[in-house]
Amino acid sequence: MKISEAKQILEALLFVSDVPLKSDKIAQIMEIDAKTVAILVDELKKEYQSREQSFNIREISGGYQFYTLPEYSSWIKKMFAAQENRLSTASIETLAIIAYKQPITRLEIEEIRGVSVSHTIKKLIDKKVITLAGRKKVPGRPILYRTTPFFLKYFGLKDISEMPQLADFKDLLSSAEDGESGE
Amino acid sequence: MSEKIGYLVKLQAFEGPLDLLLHLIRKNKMDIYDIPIAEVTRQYLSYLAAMEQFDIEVASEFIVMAATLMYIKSKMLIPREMVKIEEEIDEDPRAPLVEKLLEYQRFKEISRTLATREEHESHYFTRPLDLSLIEEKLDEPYFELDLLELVKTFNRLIHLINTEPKVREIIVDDININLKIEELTHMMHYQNLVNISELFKNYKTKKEVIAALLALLEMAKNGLIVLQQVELFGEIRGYPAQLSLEVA
Repeated sequence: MKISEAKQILEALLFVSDVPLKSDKIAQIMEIDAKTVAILVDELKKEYQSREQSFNIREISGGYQFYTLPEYSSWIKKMFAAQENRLSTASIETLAIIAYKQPITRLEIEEIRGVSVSHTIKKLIDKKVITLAGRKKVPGRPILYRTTPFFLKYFGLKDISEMPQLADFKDLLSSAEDGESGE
Repeated sequence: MSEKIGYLVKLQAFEGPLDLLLHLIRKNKMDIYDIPIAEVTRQYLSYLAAMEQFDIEVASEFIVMAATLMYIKSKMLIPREMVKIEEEIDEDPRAPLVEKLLEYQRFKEISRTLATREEHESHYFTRPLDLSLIEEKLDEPYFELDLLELVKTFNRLIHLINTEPKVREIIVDDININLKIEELTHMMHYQNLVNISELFKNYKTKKEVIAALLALLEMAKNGLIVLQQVELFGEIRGYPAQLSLEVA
């Protein structure tokens, strides 16, 4: 198949998809390899940009999906009468801890935050950004929690490695240890 | 004596005792590695007092932290040599708290980044989930069936089981998972698609449902079948794995 044709097929697939389409899925459907998919996506992205389209393709939660550009968000919100429904500070703090330390128990989260999180966890589960991840093999067999693929989509992350780096976190801790042992 | 008028007191809301402590340290430009415990404790307690004055219920965590601060302070008052005899390690009594504060501070920063991302993402829109497309099986399972949903389904099914006959024949226990796997494999061979709730309706005992559920899980694990749920809280269905390849 010709490149222009391949691009059109890819465009059609992305157009009808309401979830991020994984590149190997596209590759399988189109009978091409994943590398070619990435190249085609890149070309489409450039085309939309040069044509000043109101949408483009983004790589989210391990797949490709059409998105409208942020400058049109106010209009779309008006159409859907969308309510702003942001996570609370408590929810985001808890979520941040889960994202880095998963799988993690409720007690371990509370250890870091210094406050009870049972209510927050319930809300995060309802919001589908976290889910259960079995039980920890310690006395009491406490429930473990982890983030979901929807968590990535919610924050526009390609995958978990796109989270803000923890490297400087380690620096902070090691310098804290130096401070203690220094005396 | 009534000097209540003319004061505008702004009480910031804190996420917890660690949050409040970090705020005090920052406000007073204190060195986090060398916290003046006496001063911090004083300010911490006066904050709690203010909370009470404003009828804000002081959460127990705040009180625990107040106790911790005073404990640290008292430990620091004891001459070093004495401490040495009691405990082998000559550790700064503030160290565990400092470590906690640092870790919490780090996650606080990250959550700020996440909040910015959340704001940023709220301006991007995708096509809303179109369930009619999925009904026509144009799409494959779009999310992993998670444990929570499976447990919920199981609970629902358990209630569906007919429990009326109080007197009945005792049947020899011949239900096992391998048999169920055989039975299901056979069934799927002819039916291709099996709705789990319909499947379970035919079973009369809890044991049978459990065996069937375990059989399904085992088959899914071994890649023989694919379990799929097309919508939230919707029907869970299973079909042979080779079929999913043909569909995809």
